[in-house]
Amino acid sequence: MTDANTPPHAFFLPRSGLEDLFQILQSDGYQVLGPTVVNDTVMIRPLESIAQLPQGVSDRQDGGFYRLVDGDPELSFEFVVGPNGPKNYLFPAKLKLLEFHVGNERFELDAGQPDVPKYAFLGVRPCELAAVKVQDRVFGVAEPGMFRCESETWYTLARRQALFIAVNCTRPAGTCFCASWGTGPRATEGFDLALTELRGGFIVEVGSDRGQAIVGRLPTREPTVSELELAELKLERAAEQMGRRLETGDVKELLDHDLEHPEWDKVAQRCLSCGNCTMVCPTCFCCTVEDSTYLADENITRTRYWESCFTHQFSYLTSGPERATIRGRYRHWLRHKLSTWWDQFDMSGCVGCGRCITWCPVGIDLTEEIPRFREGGHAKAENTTQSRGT
Amino acid sequence: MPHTLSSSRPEPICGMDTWMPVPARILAIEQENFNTWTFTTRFVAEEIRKIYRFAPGQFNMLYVPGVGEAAFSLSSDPAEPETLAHTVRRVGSVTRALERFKPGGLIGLRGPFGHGWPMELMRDRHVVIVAGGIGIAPLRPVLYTLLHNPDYCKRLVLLYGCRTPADRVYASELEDWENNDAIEVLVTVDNADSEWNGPVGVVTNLLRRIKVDAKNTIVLVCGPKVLNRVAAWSFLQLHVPPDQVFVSLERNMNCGFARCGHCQLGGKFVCSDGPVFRFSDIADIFAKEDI
Amino acid sequence: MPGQNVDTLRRQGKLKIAAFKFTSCDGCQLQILNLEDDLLALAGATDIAFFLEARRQAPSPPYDIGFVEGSISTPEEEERIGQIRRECKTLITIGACATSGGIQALRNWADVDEFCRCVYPRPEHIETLATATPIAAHVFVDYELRGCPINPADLLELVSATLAGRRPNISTHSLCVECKRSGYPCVMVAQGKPCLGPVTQVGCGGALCPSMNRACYGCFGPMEQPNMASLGRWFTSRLGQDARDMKRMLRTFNGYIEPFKQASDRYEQEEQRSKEQ
Repeated sequence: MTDANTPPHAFFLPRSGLEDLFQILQSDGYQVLGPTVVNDTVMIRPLESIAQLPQGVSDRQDGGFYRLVDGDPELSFEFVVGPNGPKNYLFPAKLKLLEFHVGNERFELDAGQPDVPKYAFLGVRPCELAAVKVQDRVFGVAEPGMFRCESETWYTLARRQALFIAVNCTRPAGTCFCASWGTGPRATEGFDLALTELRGGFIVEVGSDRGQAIVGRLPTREPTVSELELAELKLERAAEQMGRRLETGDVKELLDHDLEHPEWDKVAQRCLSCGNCTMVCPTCFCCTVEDSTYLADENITRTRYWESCFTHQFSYLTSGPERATIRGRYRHWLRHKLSTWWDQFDMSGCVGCGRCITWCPVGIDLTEEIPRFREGGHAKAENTTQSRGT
Repeated sequence: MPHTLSSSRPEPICGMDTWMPVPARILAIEQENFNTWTFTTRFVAEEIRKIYRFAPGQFNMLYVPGVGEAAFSLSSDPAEPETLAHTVRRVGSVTRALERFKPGGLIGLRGPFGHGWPMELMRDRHVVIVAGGIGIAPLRPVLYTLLHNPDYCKRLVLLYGCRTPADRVYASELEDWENNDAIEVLVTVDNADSEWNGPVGVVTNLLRRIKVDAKNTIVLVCGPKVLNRVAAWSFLQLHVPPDQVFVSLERNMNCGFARCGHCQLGGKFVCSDGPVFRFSDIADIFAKEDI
Repeated sequence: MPGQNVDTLRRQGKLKIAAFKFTSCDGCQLQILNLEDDLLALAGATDIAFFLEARRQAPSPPYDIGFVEGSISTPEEEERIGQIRRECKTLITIGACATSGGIQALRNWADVDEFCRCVYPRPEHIETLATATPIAAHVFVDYELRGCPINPADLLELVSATLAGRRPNISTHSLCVECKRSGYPCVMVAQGKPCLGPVTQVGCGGALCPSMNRACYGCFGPMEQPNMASLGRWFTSRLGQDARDMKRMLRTFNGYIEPFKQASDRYEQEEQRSKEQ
């Protein structure tokens, strides 16, 4: 991690250099993906020019609430995360996997997956880098213990080619709590370049050889001490100004300890089971692969979709969904993010981006829910399976 | 130790893509009862047949082209991995589509997936197998393996329960096993017909008819949810240690390798952490609904 | 889930399909004709037997699949639907009218005689039932295609799935899942528009209204297990809707199907209570 006292990796890129950066990315064959305003929302979309960046735009976020407001007209990154992110491109919501027909002795492949573009994510936030790291683990990128057929072709390829130009968060949103997980507001790993925005330009940190090569082609200069100090100060203040906070130390034990806590019933009264939280979560990986055919055609297409654990079809077994109540589905989701993810991947499934809070249509807030599980509930001893059964 | 007695987890055989099933031909279809058939299949490609191995309790994703996939236990003899049998009960679109197939038909397989039964723990132990209905399918590879190696375990008991005598699957093999000294077979039905001379009632009633050396017994259970629970608890009451009771569970499966998320049971992926679980590993969530 | 009999129809030559109309605007049948590019393929893969909107000749029953459009609102229709059920191995309702009663089911909360007197110069010639009810209130329905109108792609998918013997890829979860998959910004959270997406079944073909920056108005009817009360609380406490707004929002195309019906009835009572005060 770089700090103000070790300047060698830090550069200063004047604001006009953003255009140069964009040109370099395009000429290197990257499809540049970055934030832009779509219907009053900052979305990650393919960008044709830096003019599409939401200059002078800031956001207000709260449970079930998102509004764009006027920000500092000189800043290009004063907003925080919107509903989508790199996941939408590394792990597309809908992806045709295969097209084939049944031959005499084998399945004849007509078409495989489409080509994986070379993505450059411009303005990706530290929490999203943390989420990419989580998905790396889930999809087993380059994990030696994995069986050959268990690697995720598209993700692995897209991930290897992708360039990450992070922007550190100098202003957290009302639903941000990355500081509670240590995943922000400053990027510490997983980026090629990391920018901290000041009015006149950006402090640039290099995180990889690819990043180094790009910096060499940018009109950078040495940052002044005061510029570095200002950047530090902004990031420190951002960490202090997190809109939400989550006590993470005991959260796994808390959710494992009492599966029948009355709070599950209360939150189920509010939960719509609409699946929005899972669709905006940058770590959710559940999917469904479906066969489709067209009338009497012999071609078969297998398509993968993002799936949500809030749907019936997710756990459907002959007689109905295994998790038949909203209570059960919310409990599964929250426990997965904060508890059972540790069992599965030895890490947290939550990175503190706050999307599930903002984009829940009725503002269910896990940072409000967790403290409620600390209060009351059933005694531990009553709750073991064996004593119930015998 | 013969290969099939180890619980090692044979690698899945994959097609050209993660989700591309490998073509296999149906060699034979045997009707087990009014809604259950055993499909014997063989991979089309010889090179696949040569490397495909499975352990008792593992499963394949069986694919009907254009219809979809479903998870089915391997129910044939793991010592003969060139022909693979799956016993299938008609419940959904895949199984109904399978019904329309004739020998020679081309289907797809992906697998084998999951962790199977703890074969290595059975050495010199008493093995009690409790199966309900079609739940005997994933246990048949265990039976084959232990009957090939009759000295491997000290005692082998099969307790099998069905709704009616007509619901029994592998009926002729059950009769063979009843006449085999290497195994004690007890079959019970919920509803008897006039021909039935055996016990009537739930399968756990059969426990009264055998004497269990609790500390020295490995229990394998597979059946409907309720049977799994009642059987597991019954053995715990007889003081069989919870780490010697194994249960095979069923969940909605889509990928088979802990990727799609559908089969989660608490923190477990039933497809890869299971489908066979040690009771003590899942005691906290075993009897929970909605989990 | 589709009826078992859908599945066994295959292999006996072409599927013989018929479409029947009850009280409705014809919009759903028109959606079939709107398939245009697919229509010839559909006609090639199936035998479209009884389809007054497209053909004059009407081959005889039985039909493999009967698509039924419209609700039951006259004594004659009540009788005819029974006959059609006997003639169709599989009966599939298409659209909001057939599935939930449709717009005309709004009269179930009103006085039909009064309507007749207001609208028709000679009301004595009008023979109508007091209610307009969904097909499933009269006969067994194997499968429902939702929407006002239906999404023609759903119909094509249903026929394709039937021909392949697979389960149709038609989901029953919320619209939001599809809206987010398609990458649309949320009109409710980001703009405060009261959107019925979180309680409405997906199917309109990629979240049609949100894709046009508009709130979903529920034309595909209730999703599986919708939480009407919670969304209603949010609409009334945060998005400025009152009981009357809520009632009207729910009583559009699918007002007469549960749980939209129950929720709208509750808001109606609330509206009356607040009027009395």
